[in-house]
Amino acid sequence: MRSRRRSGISSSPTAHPRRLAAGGLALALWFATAGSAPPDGFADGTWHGQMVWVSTVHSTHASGASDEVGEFDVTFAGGAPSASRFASVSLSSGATDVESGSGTAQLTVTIEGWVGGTAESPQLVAGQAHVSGVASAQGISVPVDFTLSESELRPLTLDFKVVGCSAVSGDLSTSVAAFLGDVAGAGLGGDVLEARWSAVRTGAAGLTAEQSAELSELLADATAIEADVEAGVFDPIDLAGILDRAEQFSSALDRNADCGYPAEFVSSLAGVMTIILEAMVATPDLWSASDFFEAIVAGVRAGVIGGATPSPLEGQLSDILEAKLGEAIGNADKNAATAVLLAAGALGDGDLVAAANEAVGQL
Amino acid sequence: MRWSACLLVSAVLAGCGGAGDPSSDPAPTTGPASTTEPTTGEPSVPSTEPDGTIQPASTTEPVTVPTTEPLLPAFDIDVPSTGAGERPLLAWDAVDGAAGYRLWLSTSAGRPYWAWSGTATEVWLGGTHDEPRPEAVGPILIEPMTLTVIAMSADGHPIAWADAPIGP
Repeated sequence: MRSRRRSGISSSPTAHPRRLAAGGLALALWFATAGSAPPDGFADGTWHGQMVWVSTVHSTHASGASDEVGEFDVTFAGGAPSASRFASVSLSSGATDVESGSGTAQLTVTIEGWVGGTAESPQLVAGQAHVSGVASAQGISVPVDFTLSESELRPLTLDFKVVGCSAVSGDLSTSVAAFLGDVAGAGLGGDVLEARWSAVRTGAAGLTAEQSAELSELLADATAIEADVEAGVFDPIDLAGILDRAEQFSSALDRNADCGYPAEFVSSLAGVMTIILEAMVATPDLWSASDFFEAIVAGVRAGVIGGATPSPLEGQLSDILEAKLGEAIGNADKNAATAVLLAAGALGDGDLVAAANEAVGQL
Repeated sequence: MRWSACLLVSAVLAGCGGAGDPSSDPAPTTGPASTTEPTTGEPSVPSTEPDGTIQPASTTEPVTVPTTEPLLPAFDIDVPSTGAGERPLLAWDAVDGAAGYRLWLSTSAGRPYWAWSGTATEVWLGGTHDEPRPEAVGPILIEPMTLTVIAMSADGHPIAWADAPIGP
């Protein structure tokens, strides 16, 4: 059990009674060897999180780009947060007069707050947002300096993508978009391109500054890979390098004694890895069978693919690979059929392995 | 649906298990990817071919006998089938022409557990560069699994494979 949110039987068209039966048996065996099941959110303990978002900012007359990084620390006890801290800084720049292009702005938004909500529905609460910088128009520069209070800012909800006992990660896009909508009332609006977060359970000692910076860089680098995939470019070598760094990062953290099933693991980048796979699944024609093989290997490595039973995402991958195999057979493309064979093997789809194996033998 | 990783490429060999499986036949190290060669004949009684294919007792048409050969050449994995410990070093022979390797561990239920890709010919379970601490976060070998390793060429094509059981 590496993730509560990706467990469950595939509802894909290829779901088969034998798969369901085998999955049920495996699930039963898994629970038999498990300790307590992981929570649906943050487990009790001390956590350190990082967040990144990349967005465009605009208003009626302004446009630009904004990059933000943030971090939070929180201790959960009985599912309630305490001793928390949240801070972020975004740097925005762009044109303030889109039509004429005559104006520019360089703004820094500094947010300070805390972690609210619950372990299963946590929120980053902005106590205040301080906007400062310089706006220029028609040769005249004016300073920008104002503060938005908590009542003018809605909390950022941490949506979970993957939940593990020692690492949780997910998406911030929806709430960041709403947050930027709030700020738009002060002159800025935004479209969120990517907004991701990741947190690791640290123990009372927390992370060193170096570790915290590395987690932030890992998240930013993985999010850049995600952006590339969404633009139609996938570099598995780069992704493997980032996952390697994530493994070195995690190896310095201690396993928590109360994490239940002792073999449970989830990469701190599992949330972004899930989003990368979802993006590829949503655009299967953009990717080759070899691309999917590499992505599946990365998914297994990050703890996104695997666990007791095939997840819906795995079912979607099987469906795509099955279609890729059909194409390979139709095109007499032995290399593509072999790639499907490998991908199916890494995915653990025995039926597809057999079908691909037969196809390769005949091509 | 069979969820068994050991079916991979070794499916064309005899049974499940490959280079690292002492119970399997020695796997050829060279050979064409796969061939289907037609042969003709009209056997009068059922016969069993060396590859296990059972031929019909009689036929009036030429019989096509599939002869399977390994899709890829095999190589050796250096892991113990038992006693590997919870965080073993996974090691394998270098393959001529390989630019990198992909590997994955599958549980006894055939489910993927952990995977890796890189250019080295050994890696600690969990991907750490040094021997992992017992208390560290990461995957643990707590049950017998199957390790599959694929050698990849520089242009991204598989050129050799291996699989082997590994147990804590």
